[in-house]
Amino acid sequence: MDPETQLQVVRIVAAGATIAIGSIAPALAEGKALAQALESIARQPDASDTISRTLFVGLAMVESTAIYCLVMAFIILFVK
Amino acid sequence: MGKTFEITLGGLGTVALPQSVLATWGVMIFLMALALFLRHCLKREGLEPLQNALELFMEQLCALIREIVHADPAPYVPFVGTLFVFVFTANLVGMIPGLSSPTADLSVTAGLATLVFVSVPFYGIRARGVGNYLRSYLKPNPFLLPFNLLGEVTRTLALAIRLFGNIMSGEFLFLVVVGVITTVLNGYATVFMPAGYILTLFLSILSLITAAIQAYIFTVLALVYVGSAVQSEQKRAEDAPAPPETAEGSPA
Repeated sequence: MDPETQLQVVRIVAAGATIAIGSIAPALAEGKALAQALESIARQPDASDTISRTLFVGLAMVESTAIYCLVMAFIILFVK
Repeated sequence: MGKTFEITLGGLGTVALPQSVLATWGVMIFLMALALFLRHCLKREGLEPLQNALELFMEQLCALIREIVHADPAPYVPFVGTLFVFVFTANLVGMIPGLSSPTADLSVTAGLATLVFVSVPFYGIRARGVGNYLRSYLKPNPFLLPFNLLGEVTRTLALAIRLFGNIMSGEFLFLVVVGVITTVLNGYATVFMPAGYILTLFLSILSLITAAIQAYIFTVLALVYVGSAVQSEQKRAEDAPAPPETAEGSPA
């Protein structure tokens, strides 16, 4: 393998690892948030509007960590 | 996504336009025509299904704004409503065969996020004055100024990339599925063809849901950012509901 191909291989592996490892924690956190929100809705169905809206916003906040990983993966892959 | 179209302008030469720009113009023209048509349909009396749907949408939007911003929704309706309608329609463009969503292009979502980024200080200064708005960056502690400024930029970046990533990955999944079925399973393609149709059907449903949810999230986040700039600490404390008297969170 010439160095160019080696670099490309390293890039692909690193990008895959970035998104794979980086999405573990957000996935767990989103699951936890969703579980809590469902429990709260089951307890207080009246507040479901507020809860689901806050849930969406909160999930978006949690998700941004995974999004930063996606950005890094893109940068690793495509920026020469 | 990377497709460009050459357009000849009289004697001025040619311009290369990305597909996303043309699709954005298409969405804009469609929405403007729809708005004009709907305005033409409005009546003071009688029950029209179209008008009912429109009024329902406006009422929901105003209620949402009032709940998040805790103020008169009138100044925010044009910006936030347009944002929602545009993002939703743009997400749905990808459902038309042969077209890709404008929002699957990072430049378009970055433009939308920039609008939100600019409108936050605009609405903040409009509601609270320059001094009060700038002072909010020094709260709760002047040492947090760099973090407040950094947060302002990163949340805009996250807003752009969230929409882009979700819509782009939805369209990419189609390519991957079709690619797998046509190239990897080449010899057995006839066997797996029905599976491909069913799979893309489910992917379509998924991207329809994603289109609606991402438009909603984009709008609500823009509202939350604007709302946090508009509200002062004191007003937020006033508007906060009184704590419930009985503790309902603790199981016996």
